[in-house]
This record gives sequence, structure tokens and C-alpha cells, in this order.
Amino acid sequence: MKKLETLTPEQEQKMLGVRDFWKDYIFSCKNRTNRPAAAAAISWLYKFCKQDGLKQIIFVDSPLAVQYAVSYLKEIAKLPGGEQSEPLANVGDNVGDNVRANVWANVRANVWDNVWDNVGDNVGANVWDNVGDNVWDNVGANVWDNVRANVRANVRANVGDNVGDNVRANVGDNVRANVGDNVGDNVRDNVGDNVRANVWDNVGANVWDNVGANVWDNVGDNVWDNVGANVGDNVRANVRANVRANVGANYEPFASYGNVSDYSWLAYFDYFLQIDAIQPNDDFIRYRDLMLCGIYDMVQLSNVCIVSDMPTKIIRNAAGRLHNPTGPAIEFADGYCQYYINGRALPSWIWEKAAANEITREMFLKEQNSEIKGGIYEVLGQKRMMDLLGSEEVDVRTITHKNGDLETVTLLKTKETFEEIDNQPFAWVKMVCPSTGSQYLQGVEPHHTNAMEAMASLSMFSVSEYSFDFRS
Amino acid sequence: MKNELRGHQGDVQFKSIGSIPANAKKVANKPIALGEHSGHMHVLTGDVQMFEIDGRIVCAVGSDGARLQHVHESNFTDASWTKTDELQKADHNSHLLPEGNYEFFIQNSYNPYSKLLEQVID
Repeated sequence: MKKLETLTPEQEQKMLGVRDFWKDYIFSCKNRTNRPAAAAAISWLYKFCKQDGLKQIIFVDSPLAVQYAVSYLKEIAKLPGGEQSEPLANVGDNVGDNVRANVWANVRANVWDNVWDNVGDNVGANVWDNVGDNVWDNVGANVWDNVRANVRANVRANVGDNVGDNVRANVGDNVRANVGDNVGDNVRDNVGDNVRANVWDNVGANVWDNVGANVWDNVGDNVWDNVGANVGDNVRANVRANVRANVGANYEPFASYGNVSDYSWLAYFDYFLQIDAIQPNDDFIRYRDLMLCGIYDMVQLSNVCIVSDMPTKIIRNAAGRLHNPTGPAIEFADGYCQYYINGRALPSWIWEKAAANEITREMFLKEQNSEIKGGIYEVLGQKRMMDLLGSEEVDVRTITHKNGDLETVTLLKTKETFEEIDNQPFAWVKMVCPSTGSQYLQGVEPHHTNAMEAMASLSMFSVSEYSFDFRS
Repeated sequence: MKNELRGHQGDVQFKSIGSIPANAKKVANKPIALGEHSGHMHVLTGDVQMFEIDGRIVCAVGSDGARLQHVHESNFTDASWTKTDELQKADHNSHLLPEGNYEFFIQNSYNPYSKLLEQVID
């Protein structure tokens, strides 16, 4: 096979096509897990990594549900024979175990023991029983039965119907015997090492032998780096960080290999395969096909693999970062979602209060966190921000366009300056859409004093060029 | 450029250019801008080839012309790509562009928190 030293125009075009295929595979939000195909492919992956213990593959809708499922399995594993005797009734909360553990330790050490001793010393048996019946039991019935049971039921529903049934029916001893705090590492490392080593040895070497450095770099920049930046850096890393924040100390690391961040190197090698620049490699093809089963992420334990489905909605800004001023930027089928502005995860209350018109000028001014303020700025939008803070006209200009249209542009600024934006005012230009007649605002740098210059600064045109043959 | 054509459709602006840069890469035709939460897109249909260079979109419009349209994605099909027929508009009127090469640009907005000019997609 002759070494590939340059790409033809057709191969260049194909390169971008392969890149876009892999990006669209997640960003189109049209792909769901093909469970039978994924199960077969994951079974292959475990065998490929010399892991023979896989007994169960659990499919859930979101990465948070994966974490719930892991917690759930670990709770079952702690029960002495629990799975044979109605385990679900005995499993502790699988939400926020970290909170429970901390609270338990602190309350027990600092509150419970002191109070218990105090009550024991000072309260007689009659009173004890009486209060026991009327307080303890009553509160227990109301809180424990009505609240905790409901919450548990909902958590279970979140985790996925299949978890309870499958675990009870099929996992049992295998889970209890094998799921532990560290058991995942072996598989994770094994999968990582084997996949990485195998792919690099067989496919990477193949590429290196057959593809010249120029092409390597060219495809690397356009495929590997581009897909990696868009999928791995902007989506997976952010979502993982937020899931981790939700789950806390009980977080079980997701798989190193077997998630959407693999798309970058898969796309890279896939391209060379598709242009016949390298020899086909069966293991690579099987691994690629595994990731084309619609798997978002996995936790790989010795006997159990828990798989998250793909997102149902992803909204990004022009730079490819997760971004949606009007709602969640990423959502999964079970309702789990995360909110982002320009790639920055922010609390959902900003969106909720903005929708309810509950963000006030005072609230905005008192907010200390500049990221939150930036989020409010984006979520409210230019018009509502200007209404919230007040503004004054600084300059008004009229443009005569090449097609004869007249356009009025107004520069507005807040009277006040704001510490978090370097003691500058907020500034906007106001325009009128010729198609809809509606006014709209765009933010401009605060140093502007000329509305035309401010307007042109947002475009590819200079002030003298800012005159259009076509406008709509 | 003496007879440069310039246009503005919503958040998309464009101008005619002399030629397609030599290092531009041809790509499959796709929306010039897609408002992911509105479902609105600015799309050039008809006799057109699309290229990318440094993240910018440049297009070569052939002798049959191409139409810049603002449509909801639900009103657009694969068959729409090659026709200049006017589709149901979302907000902004369409423009029929004559033969030539064009560069497209998405309007910015200044974000005082990031201190960056960020592209606007409605």
C-alpha cells in the first residue's frame, strides 16, 4: 500500500463529511441506544478486555440514572442475603448517600447520643411510651411512609424500571460478591488499556505506516481535534462534572473508554478506513460499531455494565459550547437536564425566576457571583436587562442603505456603572428589523459614543461599508 | 471591490467576494446559521456550492442563482437544497443572489461579562 502523502479534493471533502457524521451522531439528538446491538457489543468488549464476569447490562436514560443505578447496586450488595428477601424494601436511599453519611455521622455524634442520654436520664417510662406512640410513630408514619417511600419510588422510576427487576432477578449474588468501591477500577483500567493499546498498536501503526505526516496533521486538526473539542470537551466533560456535583462522594467514575468522547479518535481512524488508506482492523470496527449503538456513557463494573442513553436535546452557541438562555442546554429522556450559558453550568433558578418575572433590579444588584449575573444577563435578554436597569440614549444615527432603505440606529447605555464589568455601563445598539418591524437590541462595548460605529463593530463591515443591497 | 454586493438577513450578513480562497474546503451544503432553540435557519438553496475556511462559510453561486431563505427546519426537506423556489418564511424575507462568490458572517453581540463579541443566532 503506497503511503498517503497528500489528500485529493474528494478526500478533503470526505474528511469533513466524516467529521460531521460523528458530530451529528450526538448533536442531532436523533440516535437512541439500540439495546440488543449494544448488549452484544458490550459483551464483546468485556471479552476483548479479558473480563469474563459480565452478567448483566443495565440500560438507563441518563448519566445521573447511571449513578443512581450504581448506588442502588451497591446498596443491594451490602445486604446480607437481601436480594432473596425483598431487597428493595431494605435498601437505603440511593440518592445522596454522601449527604446521609455525613449527616448521620454528625448527628449521631453530636446530637443523638447527647439527647438520647439526656432523655434516658430524665424521662420516665410512661412518658417515654406516650411520646413514642404520639410523636415518633406518628411522624414516622407521615414522613417515613408518605414522603420517603414516595421519593424512593420516584428515584426508582428515575433509575429505570429495568434496574429493580433485573437486579432482583438476575444479578443477586454476582453483584453482592463483586460490586465494591474499587471493583470498577479493574475493569475500567483493563478496558482502557486494552482498547487503547490494541487500537494504537493495530490501527495507529497502520495509519502511521500508510499516511504521511502532512496528512496525519491535516486530518488530526480537522477531524480528531474538531470532534474532540465539540463532543468531548464541550459536552461530555461538562455533563460529567455536573453529574459528579449531583452525586457527590458516591460518584462512580464513568468509563475511560466507551463514551462519546471516543468519537474524536474513532472519527480519525474511521476516516482513513473509509478512504482505504489503512487496512481494516476487526477490533477497531467492532469498537466503532459499539459506539454507533447509541451509547452516551457507561460505568463498567466487573459483572454489571450500566449504560446511559444519548441526550434527547442539546443546544449550543455558535462556538459549540452548551448554551441556552431559554431552558436546559442538555436533556435526557428521563428528564435529567443541565443549564448552561456559553458553556458555563449555572443553577436552574435563574431560568425559573426569569420565566416567573421574579428577577428584580435589587436582586441583580445584590448578587455577588459574577457568573450568576452573567447568566441573568443572558437569560433575561437585552431588552429585559435594559428595562431592569434603565438606560438613556447616547447617540442616534440614520443610515441610507444602497437599496434606498432608511434605518435608524440608537446607542443606549445605563446611567450607572457596574463593578463586575470593570465599572463600566451596560451598552446596547437598538435597530429595527425590516421584515418584522420589531425593535431589537444587541450588546456593544461600553466605550462607544457613536451609534454607527457601535453597530458596525458587531459586523464584518466598516462604518463606510455598512450599507446593504439586500435587507430583511 | 467595486461592485461588491452586501446583504443582511436577520443575524446573517454577507458580501460578494472575488474568488473562493484556494485553501477553502468544499463541504456538503448545510444551514449558514441554525437557531437551535427556535428551529429557524438561514439557508442558501439553488445553484450553490459551500466551502469552509477557518470556520467561515464561503459559497460559490452558479449561473442559476441561489436564494438566501429564513425558514423553520420543519418546512425544509432534502429536495429544497437544489431549488430557488421560495419556501414558507420564518421571519425574514428571502433574497435571490446572482452568480458569484459570497462570504457569510453571523452578527455579533458584545457580552460584558465574557468581554467577548459572541455570535448571535436567533
